[in-house]
Amino acid sequence: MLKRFLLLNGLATIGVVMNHAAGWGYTALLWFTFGEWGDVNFTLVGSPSYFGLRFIEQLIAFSIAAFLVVSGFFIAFAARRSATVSWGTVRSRIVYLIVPYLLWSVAIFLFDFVQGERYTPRQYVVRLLTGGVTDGYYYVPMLCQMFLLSPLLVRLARWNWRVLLAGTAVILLTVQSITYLEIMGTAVPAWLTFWTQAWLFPSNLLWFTLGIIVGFNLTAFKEWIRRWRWLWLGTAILLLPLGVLEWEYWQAVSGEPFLPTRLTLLDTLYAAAIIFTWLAFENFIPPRAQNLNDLGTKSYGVYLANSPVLDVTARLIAVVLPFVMLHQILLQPILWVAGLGIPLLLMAIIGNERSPVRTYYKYIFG
Amino acid sequence: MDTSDILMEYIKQNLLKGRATTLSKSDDLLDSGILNSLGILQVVAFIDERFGFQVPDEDVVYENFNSVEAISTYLAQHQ
Repeated sequence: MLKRFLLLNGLATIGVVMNHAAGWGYTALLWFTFGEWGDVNFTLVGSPSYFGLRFIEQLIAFSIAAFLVVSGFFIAFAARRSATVSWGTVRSRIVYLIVPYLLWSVAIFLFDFVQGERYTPRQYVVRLLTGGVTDGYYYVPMLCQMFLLSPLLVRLARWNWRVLLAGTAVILLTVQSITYLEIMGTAVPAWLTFWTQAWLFPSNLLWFTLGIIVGFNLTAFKEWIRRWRWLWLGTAILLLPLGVLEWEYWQAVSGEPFLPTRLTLLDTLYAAAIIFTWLAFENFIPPRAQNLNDLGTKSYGVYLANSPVLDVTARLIAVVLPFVMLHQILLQPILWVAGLGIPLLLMAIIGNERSPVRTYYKYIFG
Repeated sequence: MDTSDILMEYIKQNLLKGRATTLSKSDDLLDSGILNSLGILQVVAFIDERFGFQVPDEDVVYENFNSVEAISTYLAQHQ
């Protein structure tokens, strides 16, 4: 089953690129509606292109959960037979996450600066600490928090994993309930909404914890997911369209013409169903499995590099080929190829044996 | 090349990526920060590919994978 983790990581890497590309798709739909940048326009909300983007977002809603399960599993491995994971391991993991993150963040700040964007020193610090530098960077501070919590999580998992799993599920349900209340227009105290932010651990702690628990109970977990494998598959297939419809419902309830998607209860169930399906059907080998494996090993580098690459690519397309921005069926595949291909190319060049900067590969791509 | 040399070379090429770290066969791969969540999965996949031995999931534990020496010993006992 563990070999499936690497493939799952590869799938999740494709998923995050597609998710960021869909973000640019919405930008094009809403702010490039008439072939040039303009005021926000909701004419295309509800169009086939809009639902195409929503479908993509829903399809890959398991990606972050998958990354976190794999990271959690590693913590179980690293905890050995000791009571908990050592601070040395935690420190080492955080250092190897933060160094490439800082490097890419500074590069993006410089790019923004050249484009005339100015921030106060406090804003720079806040953006770094919250992963607000660009789309998707929230994941890094959030994962660092998971690693910092891991000594406690390991102790709890060894004490009573059922209680721990239930506790993290309750935390997630609370976060999602607050999201639902906000959508419905209910006044929620600011101190509560603060904890629902994506860069903070509560909204994703369940997945990291699940990875640790799986690591400690591997044989039992394998038997359990295999026994119910058709249920996971059926649930995943059912929840894919239901997740799209759910957000349409909440968008209608909110009274807003457009609501950027947030993770909901159905998304969580869908992510679990996809991950369990993938791990349970061990005999299913996807096409190009070796490439997917290789991609899985490069997930952090692609994760960091794809956002700025997509920013530049989409802005270039808007200038050079503006008509492409109007057709998601053209724009999305171009962004997928650029978002995956350019980071992989950079990694191949820098990681090449003859590259003079190969020594720095780990600090650039993790 | 024996098993440990092959593993050493693989780790240097694919996990260290040219990083100027001196690595001996008994060094702890976890404490030195060489092995992460993907690194351990990579090594398991490499063993399957290179030595044709599928490591059972239950054997992917720290005791068997903490160093090049430990992995070689594990492989010698199970292959």
